[in-house]
Amino acid sequence: MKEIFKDILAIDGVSGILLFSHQGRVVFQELVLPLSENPERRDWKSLTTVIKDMNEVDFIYENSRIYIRNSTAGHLLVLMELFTSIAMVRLSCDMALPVLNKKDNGSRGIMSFFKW
Amino acid sequence: MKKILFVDDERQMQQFFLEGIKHFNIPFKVLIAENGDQALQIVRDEFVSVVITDLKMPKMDGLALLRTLRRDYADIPVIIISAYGTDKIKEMARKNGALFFLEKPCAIEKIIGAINATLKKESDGGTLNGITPGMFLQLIEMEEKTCTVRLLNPRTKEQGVLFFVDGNLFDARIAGSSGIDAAYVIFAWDNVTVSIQNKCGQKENKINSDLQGILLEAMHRKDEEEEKEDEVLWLDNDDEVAEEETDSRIILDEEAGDLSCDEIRELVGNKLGRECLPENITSDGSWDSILSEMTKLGDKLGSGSVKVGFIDTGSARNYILVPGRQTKVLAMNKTCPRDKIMDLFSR
Repeated sequence: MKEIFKDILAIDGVSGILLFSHQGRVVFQELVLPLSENPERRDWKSLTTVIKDMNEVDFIYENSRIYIRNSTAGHLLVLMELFTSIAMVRLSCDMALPVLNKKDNGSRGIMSFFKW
Repeated sequence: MKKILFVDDERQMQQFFLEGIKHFNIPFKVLIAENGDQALQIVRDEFVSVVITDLKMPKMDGLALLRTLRRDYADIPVIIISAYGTDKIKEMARKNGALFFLEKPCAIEKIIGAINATLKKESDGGTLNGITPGMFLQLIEMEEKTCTVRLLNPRTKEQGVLFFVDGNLFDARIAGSSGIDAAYVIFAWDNVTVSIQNKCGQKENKINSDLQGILLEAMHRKDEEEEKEDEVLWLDNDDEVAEEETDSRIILDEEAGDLSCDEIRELVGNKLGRECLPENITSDGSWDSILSEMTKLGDKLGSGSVKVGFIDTGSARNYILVPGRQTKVLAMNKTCPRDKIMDLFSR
């Protein structure tokens, strides 16, 4: 799965990616700096419930920016520095999400026997 | 790494360029803008080496962008890619300073070729490493040279450019600054890499000061900066002082976030223009659940407090949330420039 997100991770200032399932489980994570608490151990259900009908969520914080995109495969979260080009992140997500969704559809059938 | 700015409102073209350039092992970083307006914002903040632009775009078109770049950023070469390649338009582009005019559809190899040919010209007068700018630039003054000098500070990876006409420094530029202020910054760099182009597109003298004076002032500022850095180190060691500063900053942030709907309307109208005004602005607590979840998420990811949020629900409107004692919600149509508004509230 890292291959799908490699272009997003290569953008200057992107410091991590988390992919949440619609049930609030972390199914993929790649963070430049590890967090104090492993996000996989947390239940993100309350977050995924409130953002379930949103196509796109983009929040600017004091120290960083969080961009979330909804897809059939789940919610893709990109964590980035404030200087990161958000246009590049959006465009790279546009390119990555169809590939992700295709893989996700595949994994529901016979492909679910294979790891990807 | 050199930065190339690709300006086109068509997503397909942006993707074509990004995908295409990946197949060539060239050390370029690509930046994307959807129109001339956005491109100028990027050029102001980043040190861009080449601009590739379409002509027909909303807001500011390619020719207007080209004219502005020639006037304010004389060192940045521009390549035009357009499906509207009539002789008249080509002539207009050439007269306005475009180096290449490529017709759409255009092979990626052709674009790369144009970029390489353009960048090659940047160092037609030679390249030198490990130079102290002061000494070297005084030589240019003595020799009364007309040239564009591009400098790279290897320590900070910052890039700068100086424009000389008959040995006089006409202008200077770094990311986010130009004129004499940029010259002060560049002149304080050490051990830089310098490339010289035997041509200068800058027509107007924006510096009007002698080189010796600028050098002395740059050294003076550098000394002051180093003294300030020493003072900050001392302050950082004092935990109590640091804690007090953080507390006062939080209070200020909360006050700033608590603007009334009318104040927000006025702020957006004044700073960004009437065309950026949202359709309506309300105090609306119905978005507080998402704000609260995003705040918790920010805490977990070490992002700090929320400055501003954007939401696309898939409906005809997008929403911008401004936190405060009462959350303010800016409802806007899809064409409203969300990045500009978010940028305004994140400051």
